[in-house]
Amino acid sequence: MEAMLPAEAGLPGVADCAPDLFITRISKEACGRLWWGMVAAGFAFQLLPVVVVGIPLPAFLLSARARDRYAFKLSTHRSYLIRQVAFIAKFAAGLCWGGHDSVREALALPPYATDPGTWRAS
Amino acid sequence: MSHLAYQPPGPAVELEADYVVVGSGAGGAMAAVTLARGGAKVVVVEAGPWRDPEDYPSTAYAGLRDLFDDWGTLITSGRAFWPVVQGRAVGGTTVINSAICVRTPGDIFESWKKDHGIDGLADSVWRYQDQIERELSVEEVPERARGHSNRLAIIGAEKVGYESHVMRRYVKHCQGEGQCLQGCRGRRKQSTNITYIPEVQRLGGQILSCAPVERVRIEGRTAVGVEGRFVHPATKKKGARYFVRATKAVLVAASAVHTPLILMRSGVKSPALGEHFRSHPGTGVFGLFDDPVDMNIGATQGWASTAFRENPGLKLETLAIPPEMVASRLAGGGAELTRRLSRYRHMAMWVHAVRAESVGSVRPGLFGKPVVRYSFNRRDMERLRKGLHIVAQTHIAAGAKAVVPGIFGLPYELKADEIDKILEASLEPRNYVAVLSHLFGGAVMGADPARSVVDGTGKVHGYERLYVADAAALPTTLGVNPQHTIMGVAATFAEGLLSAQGQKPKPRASTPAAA
Ligand SMILES: Cc1cc2nc3c(=O)[nH]c(=O)nc-3n(C[C@H](O)[C@H](O)[C@H](O)COP(=O)(O)OP(=O)(O)OC[C@H]3O[C@@H](n4cnc5c(N)ncnc54)[C@H](O)[C@@H]3O)c2cc1C
Ligand code: SF4
Repeated sequence: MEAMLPAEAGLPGVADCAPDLFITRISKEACGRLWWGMVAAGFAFQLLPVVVVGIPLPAFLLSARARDRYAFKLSTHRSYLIRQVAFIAKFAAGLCWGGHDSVREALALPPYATDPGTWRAS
Repeated sequence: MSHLAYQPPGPAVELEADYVVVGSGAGGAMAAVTLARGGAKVVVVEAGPWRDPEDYPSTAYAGLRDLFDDWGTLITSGRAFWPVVQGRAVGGTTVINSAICVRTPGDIFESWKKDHGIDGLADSVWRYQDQIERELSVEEVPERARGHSNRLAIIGAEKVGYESHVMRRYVKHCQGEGQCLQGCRGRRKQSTNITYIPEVQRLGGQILSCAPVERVRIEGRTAVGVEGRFVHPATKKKGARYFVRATKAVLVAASAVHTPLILMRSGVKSPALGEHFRSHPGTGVFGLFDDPVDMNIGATQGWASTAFRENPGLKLETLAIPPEMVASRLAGGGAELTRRLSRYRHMAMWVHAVRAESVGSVRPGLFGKPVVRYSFNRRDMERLRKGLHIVAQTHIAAGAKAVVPGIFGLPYELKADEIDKILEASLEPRNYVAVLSHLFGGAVMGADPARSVVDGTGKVHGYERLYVADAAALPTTLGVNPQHTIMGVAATFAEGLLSAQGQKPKPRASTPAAA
């Protein structure tokens, strides 16, 4: 997630948006299809540098520069399935990043109100 | 008790009514209120929880969590994986939709008559649509709520030279908060959870929420009620079982995806069940403007054009999407993606929905979850691509310096003199991102039981007291937004049931939901 949206062009990156809290929260709240899709995409993201940029290392061992190049190539890869891995990573990254106050402020958007998470119980 | 939400494990809940309606979205709520206005005792059984505007989420994250079916993660099984999105809450998809109201075009009834043997619906559907427009305060998006993106689109269409208009929506005094997809916290949007469902309650009906129906109980060939188990909306833990007996009929209105599955689980036999699934898949183009557009300010969708409905078969609209969703919609990753997103304020998203001829199916998959098989044929791909070109032209005419077509294989950005490249793009569905939000079929109506599931009154062929009253019954796409047609058809079916009992729906029960 962090590699997909790093800080750049005056905007905070996912790393500035409490990604650990986000992962903990979504792991508890997401439906199985979303959570297991994210887990599978996370594994694939670590394993695919050898296929995508020809470097036989997991993504977390790549230098910041190489990882950035890898993130770009992954999401523009000619294989549809590989692009889907990037899509899921970007979807999760986008949810964490775009809802964060610091990003919204940088985009001249008002902060989101709290999500009540409530419903009529009777 | 007129509303029963999640019940923890314990003794089974048993209720009885004249009519049981499964689902409280566009079709279910309309059928239920029509029956209740005719003096019938109605129970509405809804899978999702009942959230009032005060309960609505603000963030896109919680919108998916609280209001969308399975977080919007259902995708088509076919050549490409396109999301199939709908709501899961009291109010169904009307809670998360943009409330665009379009009357059923006359040619639709002609094709239902010619190709499906269904006659005599037009007058009743249009009469109900008049009534619904009054009751749900349908109005043009007011000037103050139009926002820059919608205004630019009007200019663009004028310059390209096609008809377009400000949308009419089931919204009372829209404030232009651009939050329709997360539910309208300002109570402006007249979704059925704040309009028709409360009216059903006032008329003596009961609502069961958090209560996904497992099956319709059928004795012999007669539907006698529905059964299922309450499910906690947050923990997903299963609660008490329930059975709701219907002394007159069961109407299933759980959407084009879920209605066929419920009928299958209930043992309904029909060669057409789960078949003839159709859609208006939609995709869009971002225009990149020099000055900020701030598409998030103004009505979520405020501009439309039906000029291309017949040829090539498209509906054009504006659509405001939050940065969360733009991130996965843009190509690229890493620092380049953040740079692209840094122009968010300068982006306007305009979309088109394809009046597609492709046909798919709905089946139960793993753990009973729906599997939607659907792929675009070549002609539909040509329509999709043509639509992207028209939208790109409109952006450029409105002053965009470039467009982002979102087609894999083309450059990320195209300048004014490059947009014709869209017309040469590959027609491979995997190179496009489209979303299915207008869904039709799966339990379609028709005169021939070999090709349809229900007849022209909504009754399931070969079964007694079992009806379908939602998008699943529609045998074709429409080329316009479907809520109005679904409501008109559902009300007509419900009125038919009342007439058979010598009853008639009376005028609206009480005050409309206040804005
Ligand atoms: C994002 C979005 C925007 C849209 N915008 C517009 C628009 O502006 N104008 C327009 O005309 N159309 C719009 N549509 C489409 C429109 O909202 C739908 O076509 C319409 O709501 C479908 O009506 P329905 O009754 O068939 O299903 P729904 O409205 O989806 O209702 C089905 C209900 O059944 C419930 N259900 C499902 N399974 C079960 C079960 N097992 N037991 C009990 N209940 C169950 C669901 O929770 C839901 O409440 C939009 C759709 C989407 C997704
Ligand atoms: S644009 Fe805003 S005020 Fe208008 S209906 Fe949608 S959410 Fe409500």
